[in-house]
Amino acid sequence: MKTVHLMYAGKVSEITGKLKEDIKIDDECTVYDLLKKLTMRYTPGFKKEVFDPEKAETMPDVIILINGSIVRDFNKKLNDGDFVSILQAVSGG
Amino acid sequence: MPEWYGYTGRVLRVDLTKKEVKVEELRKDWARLYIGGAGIGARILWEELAPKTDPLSPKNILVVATGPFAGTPIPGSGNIFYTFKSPQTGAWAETRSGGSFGPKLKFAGFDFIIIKGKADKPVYLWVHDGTAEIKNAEHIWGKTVHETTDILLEEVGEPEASVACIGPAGEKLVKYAAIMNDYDRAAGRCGGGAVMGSKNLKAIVVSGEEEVHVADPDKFYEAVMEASDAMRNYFFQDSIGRLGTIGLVNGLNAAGALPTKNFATLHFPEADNISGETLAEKYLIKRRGCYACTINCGRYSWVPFGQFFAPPHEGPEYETADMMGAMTLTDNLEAIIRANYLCNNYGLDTISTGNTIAFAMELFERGIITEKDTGGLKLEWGNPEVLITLINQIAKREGFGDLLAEGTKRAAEKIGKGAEEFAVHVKGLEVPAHDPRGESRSFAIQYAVTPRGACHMHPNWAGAYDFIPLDNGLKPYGLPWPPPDKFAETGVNRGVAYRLLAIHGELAEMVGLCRFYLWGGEDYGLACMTPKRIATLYSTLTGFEISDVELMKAGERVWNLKRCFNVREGFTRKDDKLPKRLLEPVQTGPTKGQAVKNLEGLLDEAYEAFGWDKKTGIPTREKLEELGLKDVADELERQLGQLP
Repeated sequence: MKTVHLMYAGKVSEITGKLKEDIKIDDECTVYDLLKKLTMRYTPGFKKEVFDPEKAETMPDVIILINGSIVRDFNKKLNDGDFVSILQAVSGG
Repeated sequence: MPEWYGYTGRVLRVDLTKKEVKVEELRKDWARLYIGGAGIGARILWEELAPKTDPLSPKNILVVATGPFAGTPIPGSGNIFYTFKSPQTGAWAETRSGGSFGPKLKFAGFDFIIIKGKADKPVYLWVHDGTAEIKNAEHIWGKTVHETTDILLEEVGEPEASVACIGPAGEKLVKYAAIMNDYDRAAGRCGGGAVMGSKNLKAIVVSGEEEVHVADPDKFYEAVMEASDAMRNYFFQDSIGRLGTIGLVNGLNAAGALPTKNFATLHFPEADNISGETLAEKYLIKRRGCYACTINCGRYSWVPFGQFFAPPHEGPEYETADMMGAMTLTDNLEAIIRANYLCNNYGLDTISTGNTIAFAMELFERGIITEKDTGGLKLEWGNPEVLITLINQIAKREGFGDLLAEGTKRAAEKIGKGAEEFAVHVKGLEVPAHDPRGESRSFAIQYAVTPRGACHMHPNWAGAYDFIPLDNGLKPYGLPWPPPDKFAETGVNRGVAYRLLAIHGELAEMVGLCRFYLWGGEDYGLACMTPKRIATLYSTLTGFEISDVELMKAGERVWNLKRCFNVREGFTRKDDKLPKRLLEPVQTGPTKGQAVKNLEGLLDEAYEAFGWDKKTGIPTREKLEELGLKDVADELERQLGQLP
């Protein structure tokens, strides 16, 4: 088992009701697997506003980062201790 | 038939030493080449400001500039720009503010005010209905921004007038004093407030009912409607519109991009205590917007009672929350709101103020300064009372605040003992709350080369490209797409991309648009002011036909002219550097270990893309001539010898 550090912001944190949590995942867990897990945990808001597992797509204004880098490949395998940030797009200002 | 459309066509020239005002016609050739706003502001300074002028001497020139869009219904056009030589950096300075002052200067009859000299006693400028008077301001010298605004609005007897003024910080020549307008709107950066203070100019009040004429009303209003409709899908409406810029706190913290503890790290565990969500829940009265704005990112908030009481006022912005909060490890939002209220009233830039206080706290922690230096004040991290005390001291130049009023660069030089290592500035301008290590490596280029020093918004927000990512409608001009990983440095066309972002940003400063309107993506309906939209609006408004490609060339012309201003002042590649802190690894959080590794490589690529000589960072003669700046190249050559 591995542990990843999840951080939420904007409308995502409103759906999860929290700003951060640690989640245990299987060794083979991918970004897609994690997002699917969250979809089930935070139903129905997560699927409606953040990630649709059937299309494997995030909503246009949602950004997912692993250790600060934007993730485009949801088949990417997660590592123990990764920071996964799921947030509503932020701008300059 | 009016002679000018979009522009008033008039420039107000003020000599405070001679107590003279006169009206001149705007040069049409400059309108075509530099469009307006900070673009024409740059040309005026190039023509009229002698190199090596002391920024706080009467010889410095303050240009108050509107763009042709000001005073029209174009969304995002409620802007005012100031250009001058900065007392903070000794370099090119421009500073922008929203509110209604810009449009009202147009209604008062002027596109620009050029202010020179120094009044022998405090004065203010009353600009109305195509005329201007220099009036006595001795009775308001020493007054806060809110007090000054109230008194002057009553004195001129025009409740719809707009006041831009300085507070006590500008009078005391605090190097990062702001010019405030409409009570709480700040042209904060670069020390414009100190330049006004050095001229004994307390305020500028504008009022009038002059119409902004439109060259082709049918096509113009069609273009305005098209742009307004597009902006309905604005990508950030649900974030900065709903929560204000302070809504960025939790997002950037989650991303590992929230400057914390004088940039030692980019993650603040207590961030939510100072977030837009907490502000909305506890202290927000309502949202506020500038003239002709559809986004309405402004906040109107207060702390109704208690130690950090703050009457209703605008803010705090994201920058303020981070610089006063995470940067000093203060998670008390009431103290931050109070700090914002004080800065607005004293007329202080909250970015440089917060950054400088965080710098002082780090020096105190490290023993480089002690209670002996601070007059007995313990500069402990996270102590909200220290934060408030230092703001009061800085604005009044009292006690230890007198040194901090000089900003991090000068304070570090005076303190010595290695203090410079912890001063986080570029060219003397304190780094704001966006970090190349956490947000995008494009910021490494931006902070190093931007003519006014470290700035996250001038000429553009570099994060749009690879942090979101958004193309801003720049693909037709060669924006490399898709963007690289935001942490990738050389070999990914970052210089090519940044050149286009910078030119697009210059357009906003020339026509007079808020930078927030520049960001959108082809994938999201292009809900932004693309170069094409700006060109259509400009052509139909002014009658000066210009294509988007020609407009981009004008933007590049202005970007290079500002660079040449700095070259003439002695700035070269040696000054395009980042503070040591941004080259060190982030200590904690999602971006732990990230650092800017190859700034010199990034600069090589950027200079090549810009057409600047790699060795010196000076624009080549070939580039300047391509942009129609042969006369600028000739003058530089007279001063420097042969140009690259």
